Amino acid sequence: METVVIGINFGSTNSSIAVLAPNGHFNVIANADGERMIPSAVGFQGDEEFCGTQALQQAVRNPKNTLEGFRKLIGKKFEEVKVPSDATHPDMVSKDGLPAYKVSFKDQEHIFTVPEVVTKQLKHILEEAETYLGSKVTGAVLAVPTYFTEHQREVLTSSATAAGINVLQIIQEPVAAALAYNFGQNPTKGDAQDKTALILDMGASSFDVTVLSVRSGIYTILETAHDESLGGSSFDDELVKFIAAEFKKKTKLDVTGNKKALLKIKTSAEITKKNLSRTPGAPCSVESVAEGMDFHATINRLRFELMSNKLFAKCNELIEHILEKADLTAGAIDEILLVGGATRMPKFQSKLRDIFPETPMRLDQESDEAIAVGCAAQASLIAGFEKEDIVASTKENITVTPHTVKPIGVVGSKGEFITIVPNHTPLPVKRVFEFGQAEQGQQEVYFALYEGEQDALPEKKEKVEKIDIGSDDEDEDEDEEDYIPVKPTFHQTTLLAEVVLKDLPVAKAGELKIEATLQVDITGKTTITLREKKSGKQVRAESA
Amino acid sequence: MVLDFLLPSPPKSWSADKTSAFHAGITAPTKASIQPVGRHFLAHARRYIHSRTFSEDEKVISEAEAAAKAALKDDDEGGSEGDEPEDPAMLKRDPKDWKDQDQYAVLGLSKLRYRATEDQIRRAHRKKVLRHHPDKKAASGGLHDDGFFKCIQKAFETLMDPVKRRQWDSVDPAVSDDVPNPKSKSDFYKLYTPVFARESRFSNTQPVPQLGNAQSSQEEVEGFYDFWYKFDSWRTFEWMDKEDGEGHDSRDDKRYFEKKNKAERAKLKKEDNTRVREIVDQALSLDPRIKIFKEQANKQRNAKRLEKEAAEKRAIEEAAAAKIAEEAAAKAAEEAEKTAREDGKKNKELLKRAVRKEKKNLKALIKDNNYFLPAGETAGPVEVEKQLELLDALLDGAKGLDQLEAVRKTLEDGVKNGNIAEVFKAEVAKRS
Ligand SMILES: Nc1ncnc2c1ncn2[C@@H]1O[C@H](COP(=O)(O)OP(=O)(O)OP(=O)(O)O)[C@@H](O)[C@H]1O
Ligand SMILES: [Mg+2]
Repeated sequence: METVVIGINFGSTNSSIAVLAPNGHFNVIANADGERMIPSAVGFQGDEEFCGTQALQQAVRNPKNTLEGFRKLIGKKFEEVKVPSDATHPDMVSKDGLPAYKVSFKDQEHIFTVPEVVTKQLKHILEEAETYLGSKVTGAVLAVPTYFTEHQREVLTSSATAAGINVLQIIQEPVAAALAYNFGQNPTKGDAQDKTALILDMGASSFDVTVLSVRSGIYTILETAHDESLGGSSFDDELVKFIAAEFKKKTKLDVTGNKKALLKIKTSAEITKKNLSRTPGAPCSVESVAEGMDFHATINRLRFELMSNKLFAKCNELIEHILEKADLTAGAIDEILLVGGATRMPKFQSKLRDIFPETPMRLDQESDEAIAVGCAAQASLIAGFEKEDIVASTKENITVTPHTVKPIGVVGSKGEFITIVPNHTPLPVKRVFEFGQAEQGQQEVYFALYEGEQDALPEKKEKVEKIDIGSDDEDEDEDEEDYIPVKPTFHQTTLLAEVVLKDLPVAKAGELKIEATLQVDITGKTTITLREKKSGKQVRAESA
Repeated sequence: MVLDFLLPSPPKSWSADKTSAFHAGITAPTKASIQPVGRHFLAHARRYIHSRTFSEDEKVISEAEAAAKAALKDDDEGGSEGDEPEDPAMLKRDPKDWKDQDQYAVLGLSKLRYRATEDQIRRAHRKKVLRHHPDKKAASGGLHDDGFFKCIQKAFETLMDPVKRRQWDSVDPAVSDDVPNPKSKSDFYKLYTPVFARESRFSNTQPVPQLGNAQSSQEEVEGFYDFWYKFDSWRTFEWMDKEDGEGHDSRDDKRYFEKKNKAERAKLKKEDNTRVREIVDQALSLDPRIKIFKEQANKQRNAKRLEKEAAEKRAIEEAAAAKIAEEAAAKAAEEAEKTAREDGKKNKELLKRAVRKEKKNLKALIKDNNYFLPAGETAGPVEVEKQLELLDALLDGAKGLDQLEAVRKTLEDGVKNGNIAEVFKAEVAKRS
């Protein structure tokens, strides 16, 4: 059977599917209506069961029988979950200790456990994929947040299996995104081999921040943090508060306790919020909010940004916090990868410039499609592998490996320290690089290998706390102090080894081409080979 | 990676005889998880699983890539080479023991074997490479054990090198070396045709005459045995050479192994020549055609002798017979002449008589019919005389019996038709 593999982003709000297209690009699958996002929702109405868009469409009318946000509950026990049982949420009960939804379906009460609901959603996703592709899907890679436990991954796998999906691998969301952005995957193509990315994923229900390093194309997560009060939905809530207040001003009706009215407002608010990412003003209409009264207004982007100011500030705080935890300066971040629909908010991006004035921010990938694309990329890499090989490769004996703590490098003729193997490099490592000789006629080169340490940072001036009025005017930035985070630099500390290559041919300064190979194995054992390319003269030294 | 830096000369304190010195180990590394995604990770996993160093892995991958590329370039569709089912045990073979592997089976050519053409080997190889490439997604890094892939490469190398292929074909254990049992009851042709066909592969001279069948001519059969008694075989036994085991790299050891191998090869070669001779001997002794040819030869010899004797006898008899015949013929001729003469006389007489009779008939005819005068004219004596004169003239004019008969017929017809006077006149005018 032909192998057809897909990447599935099963988000708590939206799901999406990506496949490798014949042209070598990864396509996100669109349904018949051209929609690329499949709402993660399951609904029951009368005798019918809906998934995705259809489920969402009837959500406002039928909130008690519409299930959303169930991904968060995967692998959780009933006692562990907070159940917001009210007029706008379905009732939840415990079934075999698992959280389960009590819905009315076919004129009867039905109970579906979370894994069962997940299976329904994944089955729907699989059907969409197979309809689009016109063939059976033979395997899929899925992504989960970094904070998913092993148990949660297992439950997700068995739900997916029950949905008829052959799960090739489950990977982490920020890692999938890094793959989608092809971050550090082409080290030979002039792309620096060693980089650090800050991956910012703002979905609907959470803001996930990850610091990821890449060394010779291999990823290591250095630090993660997430805040569920900073998802796109929190921004919707700010708008809801604003609209409710405006509504009250106009109608004298207070809807703050009216869950159904608030749900209606929120549905419209989200649309307005999304539109505000494109235009400086967007209409907001809610029909029959309460007592048959409608709400119509145009909301200004600036106004929205002002009301969300605190949230944006909190996002930056979380980022600064994670940098501190990772013991990194802002300058150590080489790239910012944006993931999740809510990172499209212009203010979110401009606000990042407070911390990272010049760091490249990647926008070459639709932020809310990155995870699906990364999953598809991984799926197509391992499509031909035996299942047991994939499993074997993800075992701890392979994935848990020693990493360097300090940079290792050479000292050049001007006394400068050149990093060859940076910190956070997984071992074993092999680096091949080329250098020349300092002087004309120099017939011996001295290769001194050191471990290094980061130079002290220039003293950072305390920032004056300033009320941000929410404008992303250029000249406002000018007013701020001229602080540009510096790239970390290093100096040599401990001499590890010295190697001398002798009897070199006479040549002009810098004209000899000497190739060095440095290898460090998992125990720290170091091997150095120096070879002059033209004469073939070489020396090899190995630490004990 | 080309880094923009230069290195100095060693410091003054560096002692001239040293090339390296190690001073400290790196700070103890910390364990951390790497993310199992992307092709670089897969390469890491592959190195770990196969316990390969970086360069070993690079070599394996680049070889595999080159092979895949070469195989793809040889883009030749069709042919079922290499399609046979694969023995799971074979797939698990250790490539280190490649010399003992079935080079044909590895490429899926166990049916064709020595008959496989270079093209077929290439095609089979390409298929196998595509199927067993350790790195199906070139450069993305596979984790599959590539042991069998190495076996494939070894088999391909062996079979594409004419010298090595001969060495292997010489000892291919799947092709029988049997000498057929001479007491076998099975059909001679069925038994020996495949044997000679298979032995032919070793012949330096090609094409090789084959056994043929009951219809083969004596010339063909004799040519066949002649060829096989002078069989010139390239079969060689280098493949069986004992490797000089590791650690025996002294020159004496090497020479010792070489000598031993050489002797062993010579011995095997001699045994093989004997074996082929035995097959030919046996075939010759059992060949039904040879028996027939012998019998025929005997018969022919006998037949010749008898024929000669018969011929002599026949000659004498023929001579005697000829003489008798000659005499008889002479006699017969004489008699015939006599008879002829007598016959001639008789005929003349008869003829005369007939003529006379005819003339008499005509005279009677004229008398009975008014002397052939026109009707109404009375025949006076003058007229009668004149008519009879005319008739005489006519009868003189008509030579021989035939003409007389013709004249009579014409005149009779004239009488019948009533125009006898004119007919008579015309007839007289014509003949006299
Ligand atoms: N153009 C836009 N501007 C602002 N917000 C947007 C835009 N597009 C989508 N969003 C918001 O992004 C959120 C959905 O993002 P995404 O699809 O990445 O979520 P998810 O991954 O399913 O959720 P989570 O990450 O919480 O599990 C929603 O809150 C949505 O309103
Ligand atoms: Mg998400």
